[in-house]
Amino acid sequence: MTHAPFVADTMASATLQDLGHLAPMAIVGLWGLLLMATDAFAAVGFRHFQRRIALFGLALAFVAGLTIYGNADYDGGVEVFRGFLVVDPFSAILDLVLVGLCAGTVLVAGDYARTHRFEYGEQESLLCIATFGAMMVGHAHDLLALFLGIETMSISVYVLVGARWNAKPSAEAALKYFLMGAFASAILLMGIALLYGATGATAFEGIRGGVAEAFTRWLRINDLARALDQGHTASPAASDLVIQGVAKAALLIPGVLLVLGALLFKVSAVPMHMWTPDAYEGAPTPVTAFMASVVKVAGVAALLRLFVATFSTHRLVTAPYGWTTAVALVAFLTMTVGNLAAVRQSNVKRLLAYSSIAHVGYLLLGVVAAANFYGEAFASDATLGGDGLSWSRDAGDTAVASVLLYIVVYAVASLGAFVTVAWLSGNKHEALEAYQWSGLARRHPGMALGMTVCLLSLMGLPPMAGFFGKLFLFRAVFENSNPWLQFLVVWALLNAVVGAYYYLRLVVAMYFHTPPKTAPVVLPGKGAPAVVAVTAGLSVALGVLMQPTLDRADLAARAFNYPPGPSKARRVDGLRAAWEARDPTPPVAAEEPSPGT
Amino acid sequence: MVPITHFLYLAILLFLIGVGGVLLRRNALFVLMSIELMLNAANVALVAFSRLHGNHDGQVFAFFVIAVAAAEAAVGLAIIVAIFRSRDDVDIDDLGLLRD
Repeated sequence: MTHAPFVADTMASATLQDLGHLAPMAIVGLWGLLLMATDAFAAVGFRHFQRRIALFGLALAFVAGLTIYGNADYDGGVEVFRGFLVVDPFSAILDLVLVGLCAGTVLVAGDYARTHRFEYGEQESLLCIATFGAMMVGHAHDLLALFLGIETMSISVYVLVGARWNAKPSAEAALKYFLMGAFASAILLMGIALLYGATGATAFEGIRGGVAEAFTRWLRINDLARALDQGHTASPAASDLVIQGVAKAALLIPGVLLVLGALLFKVSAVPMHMWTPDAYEGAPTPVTAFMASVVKVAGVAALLRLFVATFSTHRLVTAPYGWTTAVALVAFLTMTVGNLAAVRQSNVKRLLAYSSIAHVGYLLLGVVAAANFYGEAFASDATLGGDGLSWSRDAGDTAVASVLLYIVVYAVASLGAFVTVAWLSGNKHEALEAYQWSGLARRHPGMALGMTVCLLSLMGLPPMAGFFGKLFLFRAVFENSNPWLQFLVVWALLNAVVGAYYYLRLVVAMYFHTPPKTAPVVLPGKGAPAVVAVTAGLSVALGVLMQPTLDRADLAARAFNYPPGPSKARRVDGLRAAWEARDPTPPVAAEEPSPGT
Repeated sequence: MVPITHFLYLAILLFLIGVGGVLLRRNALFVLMSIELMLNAANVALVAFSRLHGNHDGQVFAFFVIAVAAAEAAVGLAIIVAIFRSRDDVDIDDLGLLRD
């Protein structure tokens, strides 16, 4: 990145240019503030205009995102605001997905709030600001950006969870979520402080350099300590070196672990998952849909950006100082506990909450595998020099691509499922018990079909996108030669079978049980059916058109752990060239559509 | 000149007091205060490391943390007030509406 000279007008134009690169995120953030202002000046009867204004802004952001998404200029990653954020194919996909998920929530949230008599004008604004924070996490290239993005998102969501002032569970869920979330944020911040102490930088590039340096010193320290022990070179200078080197690693490793714990909390991995079912159940259901989709995507993006791309040096990945063994164990616990707890739930919201925990377990496997591959690539570079063995690097890219694909497919299906739950709550109470879903297919065949498609996609049945998500994820993880990881893939497959049980139980209730005497009252308006139609359609379409979707994910993950620059651009352009060689007349911009827009 | 370790010990001590408060106190207000203590412990560490490394990243970070802590306290207090209105105490052990 070339630094502009400190002249007022070039500064201003550089800022404007950077904002242009960040157009989708800037529009969503601006719209959050705009909606706050329009709400302040709107007459009481005109609240429903908030939704139209929000949807207009999100559509603008989506169009802006499309111009960046298809643009090969961003292949190498463009650093904006002096390396604070980065715009690359990965963040471009996340922008589109997050804007679409936010639009899906906005379409339902207003109707739900009006029906349940807690309508308030800030809702759309808060949803936009939370999405802005999530997008910032996707663009993060500095610990400060990561922290601010996570906090912007979390603080808005605390308010959204507690906004249903006329129901006691809402405030209780908000308090539980807030106390645990703020505790995790404080832990995250302490971890960040220690990382800064160890590396002297908050930018990811600086941290990567500092991590490598801390462990090279560490290696020399072993020699020095041995020499000291033998009494040959017992000089003050040598012992100073020992202390300095040990101090760096002694700050770095606790820092990494604290940040890891906080991020695992944010994605609700076991054992930091206790808040999830309570917060999901107590929150207004559209907000639950938002938490299960947007917040999860942001959490996984943070893990990928920080842990897979930055903390993936060989020493930091592998035992004895590595973090991946711990995360593999967490993944094992997460999928097992999530699935077993979901089996014994009769409450649909809690069932879906536990199933979302189980999905995080599968995703963490992909994160571990990607980091392991990158660590191996790092080690082979160090010993062989240059691009010694590129196989590990390609395998790492593939693992990142499969994680990205899985989280997108999961978020779309999850949004659809929770929106259906929100739709079935037309009177003051929600139809949350499984028997209230009996015979839904006879009364509302369209919605029952949409819900079934979303559930089957979450379950991973072949024509749906969820099947390919699981297939590519598990295949990428199984490439790893670590027997513990290969065992975990088998274990994950068994877990998927358990998952099929509780998803199918709901499907069977909808199709084969006799409906209750009193028909469920549903939400007014076309918002919820539209969202379910789009999410179900996408769950099928992304599965049927898997090749273009997978290509885009591959492109986004290509050279994922490279710093932005020409060498990354070269590798991404190489992939584009390979596509054209494979397919002489490429389809015009194989676009991945997004829900709700 | 005070060595960096002293600042680090202070930060770790404050942080542990905060963690202890979150884990042991049952009043939501005390938990919130303990969390603020943890955030400030991190601030002490950030500013101390900023001086150690001779760059300003840590100080800039600390300013943002102050703003975030204020926003978090505002939202947290509002939620605690909402709880207090519905049940006249803010003991977190009494939150039993949502459970398996």
